[in-house]
Amino acid sequence: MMRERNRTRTYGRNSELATLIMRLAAFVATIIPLVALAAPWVRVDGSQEAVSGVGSIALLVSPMSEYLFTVSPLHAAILTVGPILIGLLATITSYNYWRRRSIIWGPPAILGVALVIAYGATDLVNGYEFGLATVIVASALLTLHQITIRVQVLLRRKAKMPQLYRRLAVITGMGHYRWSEQ
Amino acid sequence: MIRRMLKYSLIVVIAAVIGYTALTVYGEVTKTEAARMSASMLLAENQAENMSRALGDVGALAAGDTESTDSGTISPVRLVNEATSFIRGFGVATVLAAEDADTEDSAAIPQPQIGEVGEVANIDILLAHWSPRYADAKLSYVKFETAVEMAKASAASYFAVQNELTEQISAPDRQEQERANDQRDRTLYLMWEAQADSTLSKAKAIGMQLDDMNISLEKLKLRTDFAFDATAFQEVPAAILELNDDLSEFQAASEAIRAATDSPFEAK
Repeated sequence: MMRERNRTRTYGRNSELATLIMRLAAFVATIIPLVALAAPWVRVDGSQEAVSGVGSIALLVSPMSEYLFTVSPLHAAILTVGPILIGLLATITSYNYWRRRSIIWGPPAILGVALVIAYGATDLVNGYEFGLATVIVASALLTLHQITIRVQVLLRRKAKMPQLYRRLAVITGMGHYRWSEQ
Repeated sequence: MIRRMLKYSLIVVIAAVIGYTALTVYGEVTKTEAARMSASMLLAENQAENMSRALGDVGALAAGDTESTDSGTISPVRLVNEATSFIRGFGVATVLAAEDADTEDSAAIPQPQIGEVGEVANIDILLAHWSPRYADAKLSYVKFETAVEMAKASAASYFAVQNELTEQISAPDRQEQERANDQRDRTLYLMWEAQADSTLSKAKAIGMQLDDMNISLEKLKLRTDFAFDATAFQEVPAAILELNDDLSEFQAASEAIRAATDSPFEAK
């Protein structure tokens, strides 16, 4: 009886620790797109070096902006404004994760913008580099995270499959843990 | 505690991104005229190479170089010729038939054979090969033209600043020497500009030929009884060879600029 109680307590503590780790991991994932802005993003056609996300924003400075917007205004806008959008969306998403709020549209929006930069600026871009690939992977994982949270909330509301929604609470990091956040 | 830690880490990352962006933009804004000119000339050279490659692709297609096409077995020119001859034959036959409709039996009108119709359907394969190469060639021309315009604008700013600085030198001997150096740079640049203009005009002429070829192919797809002039398919590869010679001279002019000692045109 005593051993059984100890095992339950240990399991509870482990699951709480796992919940906290997942909560922190999810938060770190929201910061990744911001950090990746400093890594190489795309290879601009005619340029020998890869341009970082921040470097893409700097392409807005003349005379390069004049060149890009003359060749293809839409693709130039995607290339230069895209990283700004990703930075803003990542900040909003990260802020909501910090407050333990679910933001269903945040990660898919980041993913969408990243994919548009990778495949929608082909007139000016030869290919994408690991910085943009990292943003795509991180935002895809966060999108999956948001979907999992929705499933977990739905199961809890309908009181169906309690074991599954408890596990999902751990996996998503949305469950309870004793360590104070205050 | 956890929340505070996350809050600070978020603030630090955002501050770092904003700071890095500001530094990068500042670096770009405060770039020297020489660095701008060097970068824009390098861009023009790279775009010239890209244009040469794109026109080479479209030229190979026009020449019927099957190895350069994806299919590896179809000669587009043969397809066009076959399609054209069939359409011409069909068109003439139809016109003749219409003229003689009162006197002859309609059963005597030559009808296209199944095999010939199959050959005409291959115009889609030709267009599938042609269209992306045509679009690529047109875009590469626009890029090259814009890059040359950008280089010209950068050069104008550079020489204005250079001239202004030279005029500020008080020692007459030193000023004279600097003027001679400036003139050497300017001469080199003017050679480069003349070569760029020559290359641009040839590329423009080829672009117009490509436009005509594209319209011809689009019309061919409509299967109307017009006369398809396939001579452009022989003319364009020759014109591209000529352009390639011009591009070689353009590259030589660029290298000459780079070879100049203390030249601002040195690629960074």
